[in-house]
Amino acid sequence: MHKSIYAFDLDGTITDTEILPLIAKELDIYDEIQIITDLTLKGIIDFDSSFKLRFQLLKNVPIDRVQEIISSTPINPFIEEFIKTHSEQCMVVTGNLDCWISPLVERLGCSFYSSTSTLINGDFKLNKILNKGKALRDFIKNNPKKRMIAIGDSTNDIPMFEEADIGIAYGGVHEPVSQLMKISDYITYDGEALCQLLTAL
Amino acid sequence: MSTINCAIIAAAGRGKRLGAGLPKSLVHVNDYPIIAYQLYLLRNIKHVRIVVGFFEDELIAVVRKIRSDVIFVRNPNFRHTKTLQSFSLAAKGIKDNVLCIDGDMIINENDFENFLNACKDDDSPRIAISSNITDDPVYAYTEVINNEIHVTGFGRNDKSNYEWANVMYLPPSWLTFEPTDVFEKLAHYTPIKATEIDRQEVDTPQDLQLAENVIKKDPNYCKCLKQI
Repeated sequence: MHKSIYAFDLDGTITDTEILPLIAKELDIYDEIQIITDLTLKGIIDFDSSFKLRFQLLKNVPIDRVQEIISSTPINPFIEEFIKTHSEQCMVVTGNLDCWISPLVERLGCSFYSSTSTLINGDFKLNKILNKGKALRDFIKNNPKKRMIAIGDSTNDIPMFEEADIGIAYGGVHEPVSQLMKISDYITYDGEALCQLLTAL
Repeated sequence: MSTINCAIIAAAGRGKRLGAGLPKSLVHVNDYPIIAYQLYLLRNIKHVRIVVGFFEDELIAVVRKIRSDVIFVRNPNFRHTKTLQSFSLAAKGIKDNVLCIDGDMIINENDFENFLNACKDDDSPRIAISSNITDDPVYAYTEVINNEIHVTGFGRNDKSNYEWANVMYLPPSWLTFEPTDVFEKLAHYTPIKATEIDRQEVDTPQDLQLAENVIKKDPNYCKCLKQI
């Protein structure tokens, strides 16, 4: 059997809901964030622009409150179980911010690639928005013998799918974007079926 | 007694002769698409994979209303591949014997249950044959071995009482990614145990009319899942 590496998107794939709107509720700017999220999911604005906008709106929420909210985000139980039992082979690849998501990913027990930030004089500065394709390319360069399986649902997963050996579009929370489905090898909408497929492959 | 864990429906093709402009899985027979009848037959099988290609978005949308845990296997090159290649794509990672069905027919449900039970009894490779000969048949040549009917070969020229009915239960290793007809591949592994079924293939407008008449006359021929 191939030794595979599984690269999971976070929002709407591992989590049962999108993360940033949860944080937005804290600041009572849920509607504003939702507009940006909807435009991003439809592929009308690209992930980078969308993330920068959302970051500006959310950066003033105290970080421990953000971590608390994110840590209690519901996770698909089948995917959680799969990652925990295959943690050496799994990685989370997310455009979301390291300081926000780290407790959640620690709970999963696998490695992760994310956007990065720095705290300067009490003010958050966005360092780098993750390019998922570059993250996978770098990983593959250092691990050439492994087979890469990517799982995701959004436009910013497209570069990741382009680098992977196998792409699975997963519509657990919302319909995967059409452009991603067109470059996928498999499409599924059920977390248990997804994990059975990952185990079989 | 074993269980059948996995089934694959090949539903990627175009169905040119029918002229419906839709994949045959979406063609309606008495108000319900063929896929609804097939998913009814597979309702107790845990893992179902459907190979999609022509009008894949529409087919996925219809299937999701009926069953939520299907794995869709994309065959974007469906115009240039054969059914065997669709099955091969879908069979990746499957270890046990797998049930494979062409997506263009409605099968008599009693006969299908008999086929499944025969597969579960001995877990041997098994193919379906039909004595209802269609327009452009692939004949199946048979022999009784150890009191059981086996297919020993296939052909288009020499007539036989049976034709190959496009349902099979077999090791996934037989499903190779080659531009070969399924029956030509199966011919390498004969003799193979066989079970007779009755089915209505919907290849032409005349076939469609016939299928509708058969089911109207006998509503128990095959039920379907009516969530659409």
